[in-house]
Amino acid sequence: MLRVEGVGLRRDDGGRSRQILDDVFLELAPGQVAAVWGPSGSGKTTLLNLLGGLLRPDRGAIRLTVTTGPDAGLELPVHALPDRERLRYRRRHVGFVFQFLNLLPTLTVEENVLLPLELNALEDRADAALRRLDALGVGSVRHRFPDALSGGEQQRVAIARALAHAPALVLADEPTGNLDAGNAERVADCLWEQARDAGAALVVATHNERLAERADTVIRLRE
Amino acid sequence: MPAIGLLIRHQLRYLARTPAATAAQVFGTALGVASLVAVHLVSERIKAELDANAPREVTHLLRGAALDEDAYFELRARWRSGQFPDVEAMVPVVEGHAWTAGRPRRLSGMDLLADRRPGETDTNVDGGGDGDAITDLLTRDAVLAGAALGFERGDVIRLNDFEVSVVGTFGTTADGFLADIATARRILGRDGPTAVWLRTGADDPVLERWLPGSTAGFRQAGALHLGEGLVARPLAEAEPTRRFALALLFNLGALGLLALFVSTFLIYQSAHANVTRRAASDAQLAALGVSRGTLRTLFVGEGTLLGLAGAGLGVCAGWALAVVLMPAPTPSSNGVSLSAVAIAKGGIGGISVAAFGALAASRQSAKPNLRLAWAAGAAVLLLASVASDTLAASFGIVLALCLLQVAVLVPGTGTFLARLLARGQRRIAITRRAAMRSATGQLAEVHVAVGALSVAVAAAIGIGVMVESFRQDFVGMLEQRLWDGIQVETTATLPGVPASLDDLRASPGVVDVRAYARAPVTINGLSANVLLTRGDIAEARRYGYGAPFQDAILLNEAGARTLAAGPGDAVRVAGGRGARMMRVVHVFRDYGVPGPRIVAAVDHVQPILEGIAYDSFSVRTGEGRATAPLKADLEARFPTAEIRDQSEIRRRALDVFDRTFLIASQLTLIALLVAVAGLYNALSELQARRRGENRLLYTLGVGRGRIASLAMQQNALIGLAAAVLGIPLGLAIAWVLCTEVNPRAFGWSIPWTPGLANVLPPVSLGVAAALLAGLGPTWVAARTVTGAAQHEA
Repeated sequence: MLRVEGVGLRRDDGGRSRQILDDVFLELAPGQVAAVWGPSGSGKTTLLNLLGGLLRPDRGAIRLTVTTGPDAGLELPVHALPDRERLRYRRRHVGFVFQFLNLLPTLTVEENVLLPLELNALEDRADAALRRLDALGVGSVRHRFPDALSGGEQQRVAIARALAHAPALVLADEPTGNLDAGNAERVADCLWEQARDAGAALVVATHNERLAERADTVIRLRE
Repeated sequence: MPAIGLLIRHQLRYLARTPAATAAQVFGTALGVASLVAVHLVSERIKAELDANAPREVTHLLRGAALDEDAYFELRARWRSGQFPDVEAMVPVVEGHAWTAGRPRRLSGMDLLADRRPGETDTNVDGGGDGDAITDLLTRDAVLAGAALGFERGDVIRLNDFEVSVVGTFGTTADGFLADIATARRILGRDGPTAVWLRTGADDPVLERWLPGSTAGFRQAGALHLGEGLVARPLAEAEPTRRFALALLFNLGALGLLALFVSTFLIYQSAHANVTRRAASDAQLAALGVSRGTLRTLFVGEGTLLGLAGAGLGVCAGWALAVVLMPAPTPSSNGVSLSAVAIAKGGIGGISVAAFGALAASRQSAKPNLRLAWAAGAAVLLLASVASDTLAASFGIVLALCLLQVAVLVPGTGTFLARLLARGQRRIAITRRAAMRSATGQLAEVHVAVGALSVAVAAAIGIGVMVESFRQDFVGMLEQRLWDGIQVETTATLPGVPASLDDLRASPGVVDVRAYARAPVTINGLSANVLLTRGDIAEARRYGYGAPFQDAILLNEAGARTLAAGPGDAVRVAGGRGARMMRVVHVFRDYGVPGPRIVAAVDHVQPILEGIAYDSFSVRTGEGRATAPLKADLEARFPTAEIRDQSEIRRRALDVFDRTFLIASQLTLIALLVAVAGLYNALSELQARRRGENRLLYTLGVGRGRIASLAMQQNALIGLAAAVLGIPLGLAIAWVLCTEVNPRAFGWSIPWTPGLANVLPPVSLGVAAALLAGLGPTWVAARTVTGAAQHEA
């Protein structure tokens, strides 16, 4: 369960202090999808960075309650975690899917997917993680390097990696932004379906209104 | 050129905004120039010491029984009438020993006006700073004292029965005196000159000024026949120790060039990194209509500017390094002085390499296949060099190997390792796997910097192996050749020798006394010298041979090379009374002797010689036996002879060797420092490229510490690859120096004896250099890594 309570963030911008986000509220249950919608520069990625523990809000609170796995019942005050704990939070409880540079180019598809498992010492889940590759239709390219994959294939591998360690929260930043309409639809289907099946809360930042409409909740940001 | 002011401002601001890269380029140039200048100044200084006993650029030495005052004046008259057009200067000299403080010291008196104008000072002479030492020598009973004697300007001493003033010092190890010929004649009680120093145009003084010691590697001038019994021998032949020291300088010069070679790569890599970093802004400028030529001109101008700054710093640093390496011989005398040639050499070298590096880098960015062209050029150079047997060709081999290392081997190894690491390695952590693959994959992209480090490591190995091989063999030769005891030698005949030596044999502590004679002969028509000995087993062992040679001869390496003869061959030896075929049974090493020389038993060669005049003998004492009383006795008996303690000769020879090569270890460190600066730029570039990957890892929960650790592992891998690749190149460089360069330059080969002690330290230093160079980029990579915001809001 993800709870965002009145989160706000100001940033220095050329010597001027600018309000990037103000009073953001969200409550998202496991398996649910929230879309963060808004034009470029409205703060979509910043909000994802706050949820992922990469940035700390000036005010408000972000809390994640883990509902499954060995950490079930653990409530994490993401906004107040010290740096080392935020790193661990990100590693253990969050999965990421980006628009570009999702995969490490020097690792094969399989190695990219196994990376979060190794980082969390969860190698025993390798079989399940690799089976997800088959489910996403990219099992046949598991020994290839990312540069040998199409954009759609890369995004599906990124989804497999984001879910490999069974995180409580998946953050996707414009996951279909560089795909054509057909591929975008298929990748979005995969993401929704896999996140729901894994019981993870999914937050998608997008400026694609059609994608946003598929979400359970939409946060609309203004420039 | 429109908007040139704006473009230059853009260029300068870019330099100011990338201070680390700018500083690395200036620092790298400065290090390269520093090594060049330091080697030059040290070589200049050593050469000045070697020349301290002779006027500038003496090439020939005339000695012999036929040389008296009448003969000299007749010779001078013929020279002035134009009979010897090759001779540029002729200086009569009186040599002998004068007693001071109960010891005989060598005194050389020369006609100071024969080679210089009155009042002109000699840069080798420390006259206390007022510059009138030469005038004092001409106008007073005065001498210059060898610095090793410890006298100072103003001291008044007695030489034989004469009181003379010390008006300056010379050399750092010299322990004799220099005076005007008139003063020396009075002190020594001689009428005519004992020698004449000659200068011909055979040696190239200009080249020698720019590359001190370099002409030692060229074919030496032949003997000058000036009249009946008057044959002037090349100085190299007359003073083999001087030639040997020059040979060391020559090798040192080659090492200095290697350091510059490494810095050339560094400057190129820095310039290339600059081109890469500016690709986007250059593309914008090109889109706005700025021509490629203008951009290139600006870039070369920038390279020249940085080269100027680097060269200035480098000249100062090189001078400081030379001062540290060659301290002043006495507190009151000058040490290394910064000459105009050194400044010009460093300045031209630094600026031109920087400008060329910038030009080559800007062209390379336009034509990525230039590397193939370099590789092809290096391959052609290698083939051409291998096919030729000239000295230049042997340096061509070294150059070609270095180029191939940088253009082919390093990037090829990167590609090979990248393929090797592309699969498997399940036991290696995935993050480490990614880092290793990234490093090996990018090895090809930064091949110039990695290649430069590799060449630096190779140079260190090559120098180490060559010097150690040289030293081992040299020490071995000295041990064999120089028995414990005293060597007595003269330029003329030793009166009463060998008959008068019988009583010496009975002296306490004396094990053996051996007299030697030298005679000119021809071998297969070539001018040579023969050393007449007993030809017994003891003599044979001095030359590394294990049997008596009463009816055969031993031939030196230079002779074997020139005559294409070896053990088992017969050569025709001709003397004043005839000729006969003689069998060569052994070829011996003869460092310092440039021409053919044979060692034979007296009885074997005597029939073809007109007479035998013994000019030296050695007194062998028991090991560890004090030789001072014996030496004093011999000095009294043979006042005009050179009397030397063999262990002193050994010590001095090794001293010359070690002092000359002291700089070698510092040079290798400089080469590695140069490589560090180059690698810093390359690793910065690598880490900048990995920024996206690092960001992704950080987002996935990999901490900054782990990212830094991975970056350092990458640096270590790159350093290890460079260092390991440097091993075969280093051994090859040493092999070429030992078996190609030295034989072609001096006629002797050095047995190539590589040892782990010469390989492991440079390899460790190479890896350490890579880690050191990577500290900055790693710190920056770890500090600046942020989250995975792909397009910030």
